[in-house]
Amino acid sequence: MTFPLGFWDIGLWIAVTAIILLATSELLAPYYGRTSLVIDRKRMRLAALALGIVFLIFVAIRAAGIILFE
Amino acid sequence: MTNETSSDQEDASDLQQLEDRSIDRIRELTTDINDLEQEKEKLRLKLLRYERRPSSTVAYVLILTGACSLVFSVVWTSQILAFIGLGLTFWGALLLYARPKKYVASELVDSTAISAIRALDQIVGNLGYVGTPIYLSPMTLKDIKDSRMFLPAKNETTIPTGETIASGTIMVEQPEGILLVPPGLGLANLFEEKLRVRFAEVDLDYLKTRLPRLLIEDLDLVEDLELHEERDTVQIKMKESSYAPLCSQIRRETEAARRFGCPLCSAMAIALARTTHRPLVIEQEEVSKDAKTTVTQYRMLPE
Repeated sequence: MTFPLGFWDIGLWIAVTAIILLATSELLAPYYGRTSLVIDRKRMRLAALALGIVFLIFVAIRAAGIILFE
Repeated sequence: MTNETSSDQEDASDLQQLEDRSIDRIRELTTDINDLEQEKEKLRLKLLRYERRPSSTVAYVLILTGACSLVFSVVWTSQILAFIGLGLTFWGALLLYARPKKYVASELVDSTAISAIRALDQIVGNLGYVGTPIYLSPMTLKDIKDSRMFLPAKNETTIPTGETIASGTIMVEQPEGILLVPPGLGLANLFEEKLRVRFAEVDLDYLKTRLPRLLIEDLDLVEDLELHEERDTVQIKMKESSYAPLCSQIRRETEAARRFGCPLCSAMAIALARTTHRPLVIEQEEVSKDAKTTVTQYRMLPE
């Protein structure tokens, strides 16, 4: 029994999630209407930026791998 | 004679019975009302619980489903389940993290604030002071975080001396009027706290650039804010202010307090008085027909 996702699979998932999250956090207006889900926009944006940075780290590792070992 | 007496006795007995029945009915109705009140209170609490919890409930459900999906992905070695599990767990955790610490409906804040404003309105109304409130410059005050507005008895713009203001007196004799804490003092101090500056130490340009960002993005108080300066007047245009219902209520229901401005307009007046180091008055306050846009004009008085 092993976890079915590899390092690059998780990188891909982070890329997709980071894009969705960054777009969502930017599109959230100060007035997002009366919804039952209450979200702190600042924290949402912070999480989006953090995930974006993680994705960039994955890109850097990939780039370093290509330059150094290929 | 005997017949009349017996008839009177019957009437009295009927009346007594009627009275007893009425009393019983009133008791029944009182019990019903009490039951209904209790039921209403139970329903109110139930509703409050539902209103309070949605984001946390959704978050926990997402985390639980995600965790299950991750476990099954390992058992069945399924990449699809692993992706689904990762996504659900992540979004659940994100919802928990991005949930505001404290969320209070604006109606609740409005209801709390209106009582204090009404009390102030009654006091000033009974005194019969008709002047326009003057927001004083911080230079005349002991503490830079403090603020006072002077409400003259007559429609004039004479300000009490610095000594009178610094003495902390409320009723002023020369010129006749009253020194009050403006309704927006707490809000103005909060703005300073959030911006980490003292308004008395910055200029109007700083206020023009930083205040809209603070009110729109950080505090979510308004949807848009514009600040225009022209000679001795400053015009502030606010769209979709969270304080708009309270402002409308103050204008509608109070006589004297409407001259002070609503808490947000008052906070702006304090910020301007601190920044420009000049006393000022709220010259005009206009609200659009749909109550979405408020334009307030402040006039700076000579120092």
